[in-house]
This record gives sequence, C-alpha cells and structure tokens, in this order.
Amino acid sequence: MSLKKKILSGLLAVSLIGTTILTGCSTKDANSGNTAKASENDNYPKKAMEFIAPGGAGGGWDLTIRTVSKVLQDTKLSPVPTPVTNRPGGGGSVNLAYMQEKKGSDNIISVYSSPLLLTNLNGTTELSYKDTTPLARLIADYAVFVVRSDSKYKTINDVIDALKKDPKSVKIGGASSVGSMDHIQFLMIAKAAGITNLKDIDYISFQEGVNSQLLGGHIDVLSTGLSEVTGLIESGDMRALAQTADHRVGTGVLAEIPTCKEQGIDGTFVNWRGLFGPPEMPEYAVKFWAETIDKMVQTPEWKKACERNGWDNAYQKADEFTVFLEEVNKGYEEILSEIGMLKK
Amino acid sequence: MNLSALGGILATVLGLIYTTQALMLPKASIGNPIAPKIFPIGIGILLILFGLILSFSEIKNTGLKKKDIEKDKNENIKLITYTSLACILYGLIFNRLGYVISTIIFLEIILLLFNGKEKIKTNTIVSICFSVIIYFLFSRFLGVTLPAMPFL
Amino acid sequence: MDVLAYLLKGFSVALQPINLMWVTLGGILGTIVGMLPGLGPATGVAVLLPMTFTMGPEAALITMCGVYYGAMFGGSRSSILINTPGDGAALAATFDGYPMAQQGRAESALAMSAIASFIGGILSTIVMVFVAQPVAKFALKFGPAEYFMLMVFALSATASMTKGNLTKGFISMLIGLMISTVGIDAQSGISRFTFGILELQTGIDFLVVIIAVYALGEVFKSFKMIKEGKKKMQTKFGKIWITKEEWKRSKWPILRSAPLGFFIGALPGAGGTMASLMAYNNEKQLSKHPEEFGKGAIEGLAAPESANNAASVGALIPMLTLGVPGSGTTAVMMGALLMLGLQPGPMLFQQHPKLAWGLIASMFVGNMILAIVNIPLAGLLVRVLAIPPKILYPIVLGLAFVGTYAISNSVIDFYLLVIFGVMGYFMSKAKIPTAPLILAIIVGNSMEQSFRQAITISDGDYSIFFGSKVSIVLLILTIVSVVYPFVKERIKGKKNIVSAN
Repeated sequence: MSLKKKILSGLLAVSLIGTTILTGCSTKDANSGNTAKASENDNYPKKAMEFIAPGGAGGGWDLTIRTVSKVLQDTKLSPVPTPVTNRPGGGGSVNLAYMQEKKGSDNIISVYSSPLLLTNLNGTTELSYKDTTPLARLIADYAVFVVRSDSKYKTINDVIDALKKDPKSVKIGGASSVGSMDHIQFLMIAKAAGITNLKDIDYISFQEGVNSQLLGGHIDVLSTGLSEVTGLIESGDMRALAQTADHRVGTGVLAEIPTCKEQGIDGTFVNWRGLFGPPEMPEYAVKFWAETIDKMVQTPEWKKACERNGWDNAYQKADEFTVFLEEVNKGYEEILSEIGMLKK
Repeated sequence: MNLSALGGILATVLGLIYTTQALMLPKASIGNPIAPKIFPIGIGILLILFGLILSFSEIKNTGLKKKDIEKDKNENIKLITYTSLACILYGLIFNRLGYVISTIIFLEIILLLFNGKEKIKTNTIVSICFSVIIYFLFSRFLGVTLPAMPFL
Repeated sequence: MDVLAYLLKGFSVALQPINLMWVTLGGILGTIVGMLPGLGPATGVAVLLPMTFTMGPEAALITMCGVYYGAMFGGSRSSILINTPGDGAALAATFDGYPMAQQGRAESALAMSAIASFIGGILSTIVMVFVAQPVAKFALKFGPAEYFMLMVFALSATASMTKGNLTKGFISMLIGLMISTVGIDAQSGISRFTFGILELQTGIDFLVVIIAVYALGEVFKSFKMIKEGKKKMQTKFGKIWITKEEWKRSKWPILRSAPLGFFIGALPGAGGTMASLMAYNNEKQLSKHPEEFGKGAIEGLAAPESANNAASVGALIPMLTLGVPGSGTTAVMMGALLMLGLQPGPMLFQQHPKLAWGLIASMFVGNMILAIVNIPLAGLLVRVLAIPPKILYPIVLGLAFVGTYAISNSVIDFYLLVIFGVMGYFMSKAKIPTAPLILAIIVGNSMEQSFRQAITISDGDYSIFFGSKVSIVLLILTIVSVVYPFVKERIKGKKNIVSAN
C-alpha cells in the first residue's frame, strides 16, 4: 500500500510542478502584457491571441480562421501564437455573446460571415455586427445554382420563367434551414429577376446529403456554395446555371459558369468571410491587425491557400467593410421581411 | 411506491407540458403555417395517452404501494441528489474558475461521497492528478478548448 | 481487371514502411481518441490536420484513414469496460459488452469486439472496391420519402427492444422523439422548445443523452453497491481471446451484419450508430435465444461491432465517389482533402489514381494492423477494471463531463447531463427501457424532416410514400419487424402447449 502511495505522491508532485512551470510561462507573458498597456504601440501584441471559430471543427469558419492562423505563423507576420478555439452554437451567436463579455479586450479575433447578420435579423439574437469591431473582409465564396446534367433547365432564366408561371413547379433544395443562407441567396436573385411572390417558392432544407438529393432527381435545383460542388460540376454530373458574383471566378470549368448579371438578372450574392474583433477593441490593436492583415493578403502563402480552397480574394479594409456590411444587411432585411421572417 | 405507476404519471405530466408548449409555437411564414406544430402535438398527445395507460394499468394491477425497501431508497436518493448538486455546481464554476480548479473541486466532492472522509488524502491525489492530466491531454494534445486557469 | 491492377498499385504505396508507420500511428491515436467519451474520429482527424500539411498528401490521407478506423475500434472499449460509449456507434456495444465485463468476461468481449470489427471492416473494404459505383448509384434512389420509410423501419425496432411491456417501450420512444424536436426546425426556420437558450438552437446532441443515461446513469445505479463495497473488481486477467463456442455463435451474426452496416453507412445521414442498432435488433430477432441478449450474449456484441466498422467503410463511398460527405467525420475528412488540394468526387479517381487507390489499399492494411494492435492494447486496457470502483466511478464522471464539453464547448450540456442522468436512473428503476429513447433521438428529427420534405416535393400528394420500389420494400420490412415478435411468441406458445401434451 505504501508503494502505491509513494507512486501517487510522486505523480502528484510531478503534475504540480509541471502545471506551475507551464502556466507560469504564460503567466509571465500575460503580466507583462497588462503592465505594458501604457506603451502599447511597441509592445502589442505580447500575449497569445485567441482566434475563435464560431462553429465546429471542420466547418467553413473553422477552415478559414485556421488558414489565417497558419499563414500568419508561417510568414511570421504574427509575433505571438494564434491558437484557434471553437465556440459553436446558435449559428455563431453563442460566440457573439461571449465577445460581449470580452468588451475592450485586445486579444480576440473571430471569423464571421453572413449568418452574423442573419441571426440578428431573424431574431435569434439581439446582437449584431454593430456589437463587434469589423477588421477586414478577406474572402468570398459565391452562390451557385445547379441542376442535374440531364435537367430540362438550361439557363437560370428557364428556372425563373418556370417559377413565374407556377411557383410550385420548381423545387429548390439547400443545406441551410429556411431563412438562412442557401434559401436567402436564391431569393435575392429571384427578387432581382422580378419574382414578387417569394413566399410561394418551395425551398426544402436537407440537413445531410443535399448533393445526393439533386443527383437522385428528388429536387430540381440546388442552391449552394460554389466550393461545395466544384468536383461534381467538373465531372459533368451537375450543370451550373449561374453564380452570383459580379465577375467570372475560378479556373477551368468554374470560370465557364455565367454570372446572374450576364444573364440579365441584376443581383449578386456574396458569401463573404471576414475577421472581427470584440466591441470597443482598443485602437492600437485595431491598427496593428489592420496592417498585419493587409500584409498577409499579399503573401504568396495566403494566395496559394485561397486558390487551394477555391476562395475568391475579396479583401476590404475596415471602413469599406463596414459600409459593405450595412448595405448587405439592408438587402437581407428586405428579403426576410418579404417572407415574413424578419423579427425586429 | 409503485415506480412504474409513477413513471406513467410523470410521462403524462411531461406529455401535457410538451403539448401545451407545442400549441404555443409560432406560425411558420413559409410553407404550411402549422406544419412545425403537427409532429410535436402528435407526439405529445400519444405520450399523454400512453402515460395514462401505464398509470392505470399499474394501479389496477398492483396498486400505488409496492413492497420496496424504503430505507435503501432514501439513502440512494440522498446520494444521487448530492451528486446532481455537485454536477450543477461544477457547471456554474466551470467557466469562472477554469477547468483544472473546478474539476478538482468537483472530484473532491464526488470522491467524498464515494470514498468517504477518511480517505481524503487519496481523494485529493486522484482529483489533482486527473484534472491536470486530462487538461493537458485534451487541451494541449487533442486541441479541445478547455477554460484555462483564471489567475494570471 | 482494371480495378485489380489499380489496387495492386495502391498496395505498393500503402505497404511502404513509412506509410505503414503512419497508419499505425494514426490507428493508435484514433483508438485512444475513440475511447474517450464525446470524442470521435472527427476529433482525431481534426487534431492531425495541422500535422498533415507537412507530410505530403499520400501519408496524410493514409494517417487520417488510420485515425478514422482506430476510432471505430476504440469506441467500444469504454463501452465494454465502463458502460460509457466512446461515440454513438459504440452504443450497441454496451448492451451486451458491459454485462460480459461485469461477469468477468471482459477479455472475451474486448477480443470479440476487435475480431468482429476487423471482419466487418475487411469484408466491406473488399466489397467496396468492386461495388462502390453501383452502391453509390443505388443510394441516390433514396429521396425524402425513402429516408422517411427507412427511419420508420429503424424505429420499429422499438417493438422488439422492449421485452414485455410495450407501453413502456413506446413511452421511452416518445420521449426520445420529443427530445429530437428541440432546436431550429429546418423546414420553417422557427425555433422549437429552446426556451431562449441559444445553445439549444442546434438541438440536444444524442451523444450528450447517451453519456448521461449510460455513464451517469450507471454511476447512480451503482452507488449503493459501491459504497457497501459489493461491486467486485477483476483481479485476475486471462488471455485476450475468444473460445471456439463464442466464435461459433458469432460467426453468422458477424457475416450478416456487415452488409447491413455497409449499406446503411453508404447512405448520407445514416451512419454507424443506426447501423449498429439495426444490426443488434436484427440478430436479436433472428436468434434462437433472444432472451440472452442484453445479458452478455456474445453475438449481441459481435453483430453491432461488425456493422459499425462496415458502416464506416460504407460512409466513404459517397465521399469518394460523389464528393458528398456521408457523416460528420467524413465531412471533416473532406475538408482535410480539400486543404491538401484534392477534390473528392468522381474526378478523384481519374485525376489522382495512385492516391485514391493507395487510400483504399491502406484501408486493408489499416484494418489488419489495428486488429493486431488492438489485442495487446486491450490487455492493457482491461486492467482498468482493477481500479477500485470507489475511485473508478468518480473518474468516469470526470471523463463524462470533459467528453461532453468536447462535443459542444457549452456548460449548458452539463445541466443536460444531470437532467438526463437522473431521468435515465429513474427509467432503469421503473424498468422503462432506454434503448428506444436513444434510437428515437437519433432518428426522430430526420424522420419528421424527411416526411415534410417529401410532402413539399409532392405538393401534398401522400402517394409519394408508396411511389418507389425502395419505399415499398421498406414498408414491408417495417410491418414484418413489428409483427414478427408477436408471431414468434404465438408460435412458441403453441409449441409449448403441444409439447406439454
């Protein structure tokens, strides 16, 4: 019995010593970070940044911010570690609430995209993009509307005409739920094409395997992100009717997809992703990251990563970005109001 | 207490609460306005039904009382209540005090309940070792975010 | 044949020593991660992601497969030893695996789990090489109406899961269905039963309920026995292997469950959990002594283990052939492939044949290595049972909570653990079965959504549910599944009367 006790005590001692050393290290940095607030400009950042993905591991947000973190480390543009943590829940609103608790802090950066605006507009949360400090817009993916390769719809206008004649004749499918991205992006284009009874269009949400549903002929049109179906478009299993950028994107087969604008529909939808700091993020922090991000998007590492992931470079600095957010927010507001899902 | 009958009664109550909540759900603006309510209301009603069936059949067959050993039940219930309270406490302090400290506190309480006051040395050693090892294993090695220690 | 030529090329890649090392490493990591409650193959793959950037696509892919497989093997370890499934697919392993461990037969349980997993995995991998395309095509036939019928069929297993009081079984199932409705309703966008709690918007994760009912529930149940020291620990450990008798009983269940698991896994949205539960139920119905299921019947462990490994192979089919992730884990793997610059989908085999076939070959290799590694590993793990219960159970609680936090990073889940733990305890005391509850949680939301999706597509025409051959077959299977237990009882009853005469 005493041998067991000895081993346990030994283990305990090692654990305690280990803990002290390892936390002691970060303690040192944190302390110097606090006292250095006075002379911020040269001493920021001193402690590790907290990069947050407001979604689960493997998702779009997660992928984006991990890429940012990696590029910052590989290019040594960030003098401190930038570990990524996940804080999923409520379509990103759980993390949004968390950021409010960290008001004024200088070491948190989150990635967000359209749901940031949508969760506020559809009533999920009272918080909105105005409760954050937008830092920069980084990338954009665009929506694409695809049909099966043997479908009778050859252009996006075929679909629009069919819907105008009978809104129930075309079944649109998507992965996000009603009132969220895949639904809204289609409606924005439909509205721009002159459809007025948006409510009557049947949008069906599939939690899993929505690509299979299209390929199996169970839905007529799939509303999704360009990067989600690249492989299937390349293989010819799916035909892309239109994408929602205002310019041609991608290479190869993707570059051949016409935009909605080219086909006479004056509408775009940008699935933008950008970086945000907590509300009232200190000036020196905002300045530092604005400059760093500016440098980052010009690095070959970043460009390569974007190419690999099929992301369109949509870099915008903070001021332009804020204006953009306001415009887009207004657009979503209109659509949600038309389908009765605006909660304000 | 005839537990099956109690089960039936609880099920009925649960069904009632759930069905009431389901009826209060807002109308959907896209598609069939009452569609989101149908399934919940259906389940709720069925639950009330089966709950009633169970309660009545049990009471009819064996009555409300049953020959359970009362003494044991009370002690077990006490332990379960204390454990549950400890878990709730764990949840409340988790984010404030960080993973390691709150887990040490939690485990101390649980081990107290299981192992007894006399073994407090072993308890403490186990609590601390577990908390620290798991912290490092999960947060450093496996990349799972665990709240760090608060004092800096 | 073309395919074999490619496969051989693939083996030449997979059998390179460095790749063997990677797959072993990934496998061990996956096994350990899979054992911990709440962490599944997705975590293992996500952890390795950063390391894979430096490895080169071949090695990265092979390692990830090792992790994926390892987690499939590992999940049932904790099911058997501490009644806490490492992930959903390991749930069914608790039904008979844990009783076996309690009866001092943990070695057989651990060994059988590895053997059944191995056979299920290998058979599926062999089959996959040849039937991947046709299976993928067949899976496309599953529209919402067919999915609905499939879910109903799965739920009908409730009838046979309840020994005796059918009312109790239904109550359990209905509560599970209730839990599955919590969250945002995808077809309408409105939140149901979330009471303003943001974390509940995405619903209640079935894994949380499983951990609550099985880990916490077990702790609550054993309190008295532990305090009075009546819970025994195993001090002598035998060889990790199975007897001839056990093999005889399990042979056919394993062989039958593998194709079932394989096919279910190939359907996006249905995975290892459903596959293992259905296999369990299936074998119980077909067995000559169904009353032994749940009390330590070896085939009750072998069948789901075979099914869930087969399902994990099946889940790769939609990912590799269509670029459609078949499950959460394959979604993470797809993300990883994209980061490595590979586009999963029909073009993968044409653009990178060496890689794609190397991947498949490594599945064979990985399976074999993991089976070999798991036997001695199990020998180490079984020592866990030697820890005095008074200390082991609190540790189990600790693991339950940290595992739950790993799933969703939310303390709300802690309170859910308590609520469902108490509920699970009460249910076991009142002899209300818990398996229908879990099955209903997994299946409930999909079932309802599929129904509504189908109605929207058919514009309100209910005949869509009888419209295809697949739906009709499923309907027949459902009816048989519900009616069969009753018929069997009747026949048995008649036989008894006859023999009594």
